[in-house]
Amino acid sequence: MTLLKVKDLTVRDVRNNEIVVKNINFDLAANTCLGIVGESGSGKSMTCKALLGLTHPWLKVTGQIDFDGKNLLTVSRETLRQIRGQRIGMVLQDAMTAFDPLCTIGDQMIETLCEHTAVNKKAAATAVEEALEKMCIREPIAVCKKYPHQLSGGMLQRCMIALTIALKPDIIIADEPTTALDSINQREVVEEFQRLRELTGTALIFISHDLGIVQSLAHQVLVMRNGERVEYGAAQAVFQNPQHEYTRYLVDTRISLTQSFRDAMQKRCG
Amino acid sequence: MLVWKRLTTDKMALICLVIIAGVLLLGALAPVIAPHNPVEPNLKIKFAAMSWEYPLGTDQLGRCVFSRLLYGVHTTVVLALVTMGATLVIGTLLGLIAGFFRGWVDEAIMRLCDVLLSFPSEVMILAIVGMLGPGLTNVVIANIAAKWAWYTRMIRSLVIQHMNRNYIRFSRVSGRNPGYIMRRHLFPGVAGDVIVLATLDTGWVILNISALSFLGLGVQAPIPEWGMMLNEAKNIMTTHPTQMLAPGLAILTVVAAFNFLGDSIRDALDPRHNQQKAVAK
Amino acid sequence: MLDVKNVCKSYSKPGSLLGKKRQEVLKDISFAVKTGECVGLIGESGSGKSTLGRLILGLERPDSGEIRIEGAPVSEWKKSHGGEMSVVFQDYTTSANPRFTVEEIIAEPLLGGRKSRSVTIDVRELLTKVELSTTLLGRYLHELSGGQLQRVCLARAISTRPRFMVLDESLSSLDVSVQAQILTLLRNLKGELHMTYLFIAHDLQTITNLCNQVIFLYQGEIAERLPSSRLAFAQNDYARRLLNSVILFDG
Repeated sequence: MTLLKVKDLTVRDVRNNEIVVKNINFDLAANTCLGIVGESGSGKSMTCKALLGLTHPWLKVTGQIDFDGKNLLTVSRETLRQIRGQRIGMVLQDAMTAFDPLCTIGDQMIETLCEHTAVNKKAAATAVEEALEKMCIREPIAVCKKYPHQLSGGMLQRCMIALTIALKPDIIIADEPTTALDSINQREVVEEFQRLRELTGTALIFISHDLGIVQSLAHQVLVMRNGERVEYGAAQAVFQNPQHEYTRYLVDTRISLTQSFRDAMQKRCG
Repeated sequence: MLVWKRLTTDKMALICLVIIAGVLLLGALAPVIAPHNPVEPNLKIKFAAMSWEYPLGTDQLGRCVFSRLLYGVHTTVVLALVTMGATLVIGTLLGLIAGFFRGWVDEAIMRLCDVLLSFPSEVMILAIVGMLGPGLTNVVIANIAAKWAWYTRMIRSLVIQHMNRNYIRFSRVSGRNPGYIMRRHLFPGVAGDVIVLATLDTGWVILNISALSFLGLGVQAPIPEWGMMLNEAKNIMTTHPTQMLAPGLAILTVVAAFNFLGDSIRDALDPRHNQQKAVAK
Repeated sequence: MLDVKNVCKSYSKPGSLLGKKRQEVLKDISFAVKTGECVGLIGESGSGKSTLGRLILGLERPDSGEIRIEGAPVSEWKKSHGGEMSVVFQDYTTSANPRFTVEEIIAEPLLGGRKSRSVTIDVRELLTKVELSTTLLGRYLHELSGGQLQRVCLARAISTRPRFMVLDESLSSLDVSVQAQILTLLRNLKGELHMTYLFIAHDLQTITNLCNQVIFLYQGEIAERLPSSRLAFAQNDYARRLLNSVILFDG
């Protein structure tokens, strides 16, 4: 079942007529994960912002984004706002600045829940607790009472994901959620996403430049360069047998960069 | 040099520079171009309208307003500039030192500033002038004394912000001496903000000098001074409101010119700002 | 070359009276780096690795313990060996003075603000060394991409031919392909200029690529030190967890 269908998505900067994103097409089915791969400036973040209508006013978005029988580019601002909160969730790269440093994590999560769903404070608190438990966070009540600076980046990122889960969206868009984390936290966050998809059947759009992480999560992969789609297909096919030379280049650099690590780790077996 | 070049391509900056230079030039040439003696009263022709002989009319004592304005440049604008200049030099030096070296030097300078800042500046100025006696030099000294602590503190906090930037760290790692880092990185870094505030404050100083003159503590009565002219005109506002126009507009023009010039200097110091402006156009 | 002995560092917690409550960032750190070695320092954010970097660079002083370079305390060594220690930071956006052009940035360590013909030639040479076009000389840093800017910082860092270089997360905010290019560049420069590197990072894969020794820092303490070829034999619990959780990419 196709949940989201993007057709000829183009983003143009009206100030200098520069095309930032050009003719992007992809489908997202329920309970799958789409990985978007590309280097900085390739337009991968911009594509997702365009999906949610979060672009700057001087950027003109054209094309078609079909979600739930509606074209997200033509619906009213109010509808879009509701969709953004309840149907499509977003996890950002920098969890450190995504929370207000002056309020406790719990308060912020409950407030967000109350705003986007029709629940009272008490129900929201239970929902938050449940979501944190689902994320395998030990002592969720203690975490709720903490302020953002008292938690590690990985923990905050997991709280963000927990919050997104509590909202029970149909699609979660994650923009480089693991880039600022060390490998332990990276793995934990990736596992949370996996568990989340298995538990709720939520579709996931995962943006990253780390091919290893995308490979472990994604079913479909979209490779972007300079705002254009370079390659699109099943993840294993794209990574094992890249068709475009740019994809091949990305794969090769990744492999050569990590070769010495792989060698070092393989000694144990050999 | 590059800053100067950028400044001269900015029309607003050029206009402001021309106005300020023009005013200073007129002030310097006052003895030559002023049609009358600025302090000589002639009660027979008081409140005269504009004429060829009295280009801006006469005041309540029959003195030529135009001549008084010209001579007033000396007292008002020049004194304000001297005050601001000295305040900036003291503030920048101490602020750079406190922010760069931190530690006990910083503590000593900052506690001194705290003491000075705990008095309202007007009270402080009155106290100093009261102690030293009325007079032009003492007004300048009092203004500097009231203001330097504020600038030191502001420049110090700007410097501390800059100290955490990586390019300053790099300079320190590569073994540059403090003088070089201050001159090359810190001073240009804070100069923009400081200049903007200083130009705004020039207006404050002009008004302060005239306030003191009004109280009889600064410029003594017959000597022409813009603020004092405005104060005198205020007394007869109901009967001759036009008397306020000439000194008021003069102060307005000069203060505005300084403010706009400040903005332009900030833009010229920051290459990024320039480009954004170009894009916006 | 570098000798760190029993170094402790703590910061006063915000809000505590007279700074009595202190947070220990580094607890009794000791390690040595030999000349010509390339040592990687790895740890999660908040493990104190950047603080340790700042202490070694002489930007801050340790509370106790000492840091010596070639037998002399850091601050004294820096005075007598001007320009022989260098650094490249993670955040390249504040790494160079925004008022300077590329030429001025790179030339800064070479001269005291004056310009001379020989310096211009040197700057051109340095730019070629970091594989940048000399047409960039007159650009300001907001006109450069992240990768270009980090190369400019690298060119500046090597302009004085340093013998000891600290790379503080220098690659973390760059694209993988740019990382790979700069890593190659660093390896070549190391051979050419006989430099000793201290590479601070949170990414194990890049660290192993460049370094021959890896130090694991965990909550302000050294958890383990290993040659990077023997990573698989890590004993420490934290180091093992870190190593095992790396998500590898297989093509």
